[in-house]
Formats: sequence, structure tokens, C-alpha cells
Amino acid sequence: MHMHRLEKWWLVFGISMLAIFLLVLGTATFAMGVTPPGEHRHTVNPETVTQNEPFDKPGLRQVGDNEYEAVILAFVFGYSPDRIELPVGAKVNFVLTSTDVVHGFHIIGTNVNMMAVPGEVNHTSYTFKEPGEYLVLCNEYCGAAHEQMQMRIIVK
Amino acid sequence: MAKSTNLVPHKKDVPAKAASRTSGETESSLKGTFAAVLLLGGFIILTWAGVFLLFLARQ
Amino acid sequence: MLTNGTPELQIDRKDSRLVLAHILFAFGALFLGGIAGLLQGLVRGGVVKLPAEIGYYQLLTAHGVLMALIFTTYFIIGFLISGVSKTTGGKLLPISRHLGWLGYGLMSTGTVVGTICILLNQATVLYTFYAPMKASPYFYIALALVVVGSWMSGFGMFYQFGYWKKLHKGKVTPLFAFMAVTTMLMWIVATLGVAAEVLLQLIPWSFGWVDTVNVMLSRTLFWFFGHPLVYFWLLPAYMCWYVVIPKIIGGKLFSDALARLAFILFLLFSIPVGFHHQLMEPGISPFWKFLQVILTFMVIVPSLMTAFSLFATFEQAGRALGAKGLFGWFRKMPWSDVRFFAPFAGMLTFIPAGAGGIINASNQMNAVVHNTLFITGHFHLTVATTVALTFFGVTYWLIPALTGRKLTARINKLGMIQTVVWLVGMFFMSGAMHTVGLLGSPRRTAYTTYENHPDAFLWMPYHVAMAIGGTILFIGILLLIVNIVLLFRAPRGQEEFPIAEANASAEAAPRLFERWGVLISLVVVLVLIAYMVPVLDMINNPVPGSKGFVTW
Ligand code: HEM
Ligand SMILES: [Cu+2]
Ligand SMILES: [Cu+2]
Repeated sequence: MHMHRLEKWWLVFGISMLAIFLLVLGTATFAMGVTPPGEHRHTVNPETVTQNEPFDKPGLRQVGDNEYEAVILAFVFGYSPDRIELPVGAKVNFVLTSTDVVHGFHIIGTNVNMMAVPGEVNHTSYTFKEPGEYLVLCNEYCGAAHEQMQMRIIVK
Repeated sequence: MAKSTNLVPHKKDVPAKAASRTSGETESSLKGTFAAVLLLGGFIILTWAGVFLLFLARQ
Repeated sequence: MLTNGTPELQIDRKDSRLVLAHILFAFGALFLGGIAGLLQGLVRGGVVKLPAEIGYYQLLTAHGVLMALIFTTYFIIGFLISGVSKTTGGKLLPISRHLGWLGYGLMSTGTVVGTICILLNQATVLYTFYAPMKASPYFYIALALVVVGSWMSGFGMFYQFGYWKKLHKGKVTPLFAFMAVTTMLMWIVATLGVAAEVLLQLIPWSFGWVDTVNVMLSRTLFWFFGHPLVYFWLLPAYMCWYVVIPKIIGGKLFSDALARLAFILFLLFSIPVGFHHQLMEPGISPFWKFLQVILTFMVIVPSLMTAFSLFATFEQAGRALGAKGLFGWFRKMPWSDVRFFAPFAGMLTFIPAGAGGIINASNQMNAVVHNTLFITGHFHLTVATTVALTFFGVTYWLIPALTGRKLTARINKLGMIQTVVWLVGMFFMSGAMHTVGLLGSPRRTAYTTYENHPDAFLWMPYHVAMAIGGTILFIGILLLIVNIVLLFRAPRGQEEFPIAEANASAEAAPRLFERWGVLISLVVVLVLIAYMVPVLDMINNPVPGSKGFVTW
């Protein structure tokens, strides 16, 4: 098949561009651990999840030096807990699931943006470097009052 | 190399002179196209890099 | 055929009727969907409040279904049937035409039943109907009817194509028909995913025959379909760009063989990529997500080829008309011909649209945009501008070609205005959506201030810009409807069905391109590589099932 000389150069350019994008993303993901959320598989029964560890006591617990685990339940139309307070610089490992339908969990202004899927547990980490009142909202349609589903993270 | 393979089918349906002219033209006249796609590529790189920086800033 | 002054139709009268039925249905859906879209924009912008009987999400479900599923599918099938008929002799075989009508009947039954479910508030689950939100079983049945109906039309096209090949042994198949067959083949493979989800999981669960549903599996099956769905919208627009536009600008196909190669690459790579819609969810390991991200980037390559081809078509045609300099050919294009201008505006829009798509698919970067209005802005550029404007451009010649009328200078002018109105409206709406999405404003969310949180307060001006853009767009839809009515009252005459010819020097495409068995095997292999391990894992180690919820 004949291809114009310049088209070949264009494809070389374009494919190299895509390869570089992938290389950057891949390095960040696999070598530096900047992965999308939800790495290890961990299932729960959405009907009994609130009776078992750790989701029987959702909330914040300290696990290290200014490091915390935040266990969060999403449900129609809110989160438990609906407010978390943290010191500046705290690293938080989020553990999230849903007791009913699919929800979202987006901390505005950060890269924490993940799905709460019933039966699955999602994980991600974030270090709060800036003080402020962070808005967390559900960004997956979950029903009639979806637009009211939110919580706050206060960093002082 | 591309040229010689390209000329063979020409001979069958068009006079040789016209054929060599068109093929000569095709090989040289897509500079504008090339410039246009490079601009497109540049746009993609800029927007991608912009959002990547935003991603890093929020990390 | 030209008898007693009746103008010659571009394709057989019976085929014309089938095509027109599809196209008019499509624009009916566009009109209704447009009303919903207008209201959504106004609600989010805080301009109006809906009466208690109508929910925002009910409107949004109607908008998504009518626009993304019904408008697109009807137009696409109508357009493909018209071109297949045109390029395979101007007349469909009776069996192909009957399959087309059967498909039309099934799809229309599905659309009516589905719309009733939405209006009765029995299916406020949006057009992605994610489990475990549980809609009425009749909603799922309706969607299944739409899908199965589209298969019937696809089979009709396959049959017509095969018959043409039998009669023209050894000849190069018509490019349009080849592309139509490739597109429908991709569609049928892709819809197997959603068909499995709906038939094996959702319908039995919704009827209560089984208690629970495997949510992860259902999402995976949905997105197995969901990504190729967007290529199902895009490829017919590419067909117009590759095959129709060169003729309108007085040029030739840039390369028949490379155009076919691009379509084959779409067939192969547009399916095994659905995880790029599931990057932010649990239950799929980063390895499989990244593998599908790589495959997603492969499917960008045929679009890069398409960009080159299109510019090259323009440049060659412009230079043949005497254009000089690096970009002189640009000025030689028929700018005042809506048949060119509307699809061209679509092509231009695809530059930011495609750039946005690459961003969305970029693995962890997806966290910046996932489920924000950036995504909504993105697909209002891809499907609602690139594809929609191309379809509008096609409509301006297709309706006259099918009814034996002329696209008059006046309608042409109105069409140009309509295109510009659309572009302006979309500039405001989609531009605002992209920006506010990067700031975090969520998609699929009714008016809210999040208890007056300052971040949400910052989003308001953009939401108002969305409302303004949406209103302009709605005017664009009204203008389009007026133009369609005018087309049906235009003076009788003959309007061209533009199909470009190959260059005299064009070489035949490799035979491999029509070895369908080989191609389908390759598709299967790629799908198995991308999906087999994670899907088997979802089936063998299922998450505890979910019972259904009605949360609206
Ligand atoms: C009058 C023109 C239009 C207006 C004013 C409009 C407006 C909107 C708005 C405001 C939303 C977002 C709502 C939200 O996320 O809360 C939306 C969503 C959407 N629009 Fe449009 N739109 C228009 C045309 C179209 C067209 C032509 C298509 C496709 C062919 C389309 C496809 C969609 C889809 C698929 C969604 C997503 C639905 C969902 O998230 O479930 N729209 N539209
Ligand atoms: Cu929600
Ligand atoms: Cu996709």
C-alpha cells in the first residue's frame, strides 16, 4: 500500500507523541505509584457491610505519624462520617464502599476522585498539604437527591 | 522506492507524461497538509501537557 | 428512469422511503431531546425551576436516550442504507429492504416503550442504566428491541454487500459500502456486550426471577459496548468526510486503500478498550486498566491518518484549482456550500474534541476529569457537534436527493446560518462545561450550591454560560427543523448524491481487507487479550450480588 512520504512522517510524529504520553503515564503508575484508585481487590457484602470490620465503625483512625485511615460508607444520599478533621500535612488512606447503589467520591481541588461500588472496596491515598474546608461530593448519579450528597474534610 | 512502485499502475490508464506529472505533484504538494497536521499535533501536546500539569499540581 | 418530467431519484423510490423514515424519526428524537437539553441547561444555570411533576434526572434520562441512542442510531442506519443502496446499484434487494423495515419496526417499538417508561418515571436511571438502580423490566426490553432492530438493518446491508460481490467477482468493492459493512460489523460485536448485560443480567433481575446482580460484571459489559458506541457515532461522520466531501469540493479520494485501512483499525481497536471508562473504580487491577489504555491509544492512530487524508484531499483539490503557497488551497474550498461547511465545522471541532478524548483516556489523569462536566463538554463536541453537524450537512443534500427536490440557494443560506448558530451555542456551552469541569463541577447533577460551599459558588457563572449556550443551541435545533420542512417543499429537481471517485492512479486495497473471517478472528483475539482474565475473575470470584434499588 502506498503511503505519501509526509504521511509517514506524520504517523511517526503522532505515534511517538502517543508513546511518550504512555511512557509518562506508565512510569508514574508503575514506578512511582501514582496509580488510579482501587488497586487491591477486596470485596464485602453490601447488605451486611455495616456489621463487619472496618465498616461497622466508619471514621478516622490514626495509623502512623500524621497518617490516618479514613473508612467511609457512601449511601443514598450521604456519607458516613459526613465530616472529618485533620491536621495540615496529614496523609490519609481512604477506604470506601457503598451500601446501596454506585456513588462517587470527589474531593474538589484534589485528584481524589473515585467510585464507591457496592460489593467492592475502593482505596486511594492523599496528603493534605493545604489547610481549608474541602468539599467532597458524589459525582455519580445515585437517585432523586443526588445533588445533595456531600461531606466535608476540614484541614487545620 | 515509493516512486517506482507508484508509477506502474499509472502507465495502464493515463498517458505517461500526465502520470509522472501527477505523481511528482503528489509527492511534493502536501506540504500544507503536513504543516496543518503538525499544528494539530502541537495542539494535542499542549492541551495534554496542560492537564497533566494540573494533575501534578493536585497530586 | 426520467419519465414525464419526474425528476430522477438518486436511489430507488422504495429505498428512499425507508431512508426518509429513519432520518425523520432521528430528527423527531433530536427535537424532543433538545427540549430536555434546553431545560437541563436552564435548571443548572439557576434560571428556571422544574414543576414538581418533572424530575431533573427524568429529563436527563430522556435527553441521553433520545440523543445518544435514538437520534444517532436512526440517522446512522438511514444514512448507511442510503449509501449502500446508492453504491451497489441504486436499489436494495427486497430482502435487504425488508430487513431494514423490520429493524425500523423493532427499533421504533423499543423507542416508544422506552420513552413511556421514562415518562412514567419507571426508568430514571439515565442512558447508562447502571445497576443496582433498577428500572422497569420493560425499559430494558425496550433497549434490547432497539439493539436487535439495528442488527436487522445491519444484516440487510451485509446481504446487499455480499450479493454485489458475487455479481462483481474480483472487482474492488464500493468504498462507502465497505465502510458501512465494517461499521455495522463493529456495532454488532460491540452490542453483544450490552445485549448480554440486558438479557442475562438485568431483565431476569428486574422481573425478580433472580434476587441479585453482579454489579462489576454489568458495568464491564456495559463499557465493552459503551466505547465502541462512540465510534459507531463517529465512523458514519468519517464516511461523509472520506467519501462525500471530496466530491463536493471537486476532488478525488485521497487514498481508497488507506481509508479502508483506517476503518479496519477502528474495527479492531475500538472494542477492547472499555476499561478507560472504569479507571476510577475498584475491582480491576492497574495492569488491566493500563493495558486497555494502551489499546485506547492505538485507536487514535486511524484518526491521525484520517486527519492527514482530509487535509490532503483539500490541498490536492485546492492545488488542482490553482492554489499557491503553503495554505493557499484553504481559500479554494466551497465555503458558502452548506454541504461542505457544516461537515467541515464538524471536522474542525474534532480537533479539541479529540484532544480532550486523549486526556480522558490517560489513566491516572482521568481523576482530574472523571464524572465532571469536562466529560459532558467533551462529548458535546464529539457527538453533539462533530457528528451532529456532519449529519446536518448530509441532511441538506440527502433529503432533496431522496425526494427529487433541489437544495435551493435560500435553504443553503439558512443551513449556513444554522451551522454558525450551532457553533456559537456550543462554544459557550461546551467551553463552559470544559472549564468548570476542570474546576470540579460534577456532571449529571441538578441545581445545587452544596450548602453554599465557596468552590461551588465559583462554578455558577459557568453554569449560567452553559444555560446561554444551551438556549442558542436550542434555537439551532428549531432552525434545523424549519430547514427540513423547507427542504420538503423545495422545488422539484435533481440533487446529487455525492460519492467521490478514486484517483486514476489508485491502487487496489490488499485482499486481506475483505477477509472477514480473519478480521473477526483478530477482533476476538484482541477482545480476549484485553478482557478474558479480568472478566473471568469477575465471574469466578464474584462480588456479593446486589439487590435492586429504586432511588428516584
Ligand atoms: C439543544 C442542544 C443541547 C443542549 C442544550 C444540551 C444540553 C445538555 C446538558 C446541559 C447536559 C448535562 C446535564 C448534566 O450532566 O447534568 C447534557 C447531557 C448530555 N447530552 Fe446534551 N445537549 C444538547 C444536544 C445534545 C446532542 C445533539 C447530543 C447527542 C447527539 C447530546 C447528548 C448528551 C448526552 C449523551 C448527555 C449525557 C447524559 C447523561 O449524563 O446521562 N446532547 N446535554
Ligand atoms: Cu450521587
Ligand atoms: Cu471511551
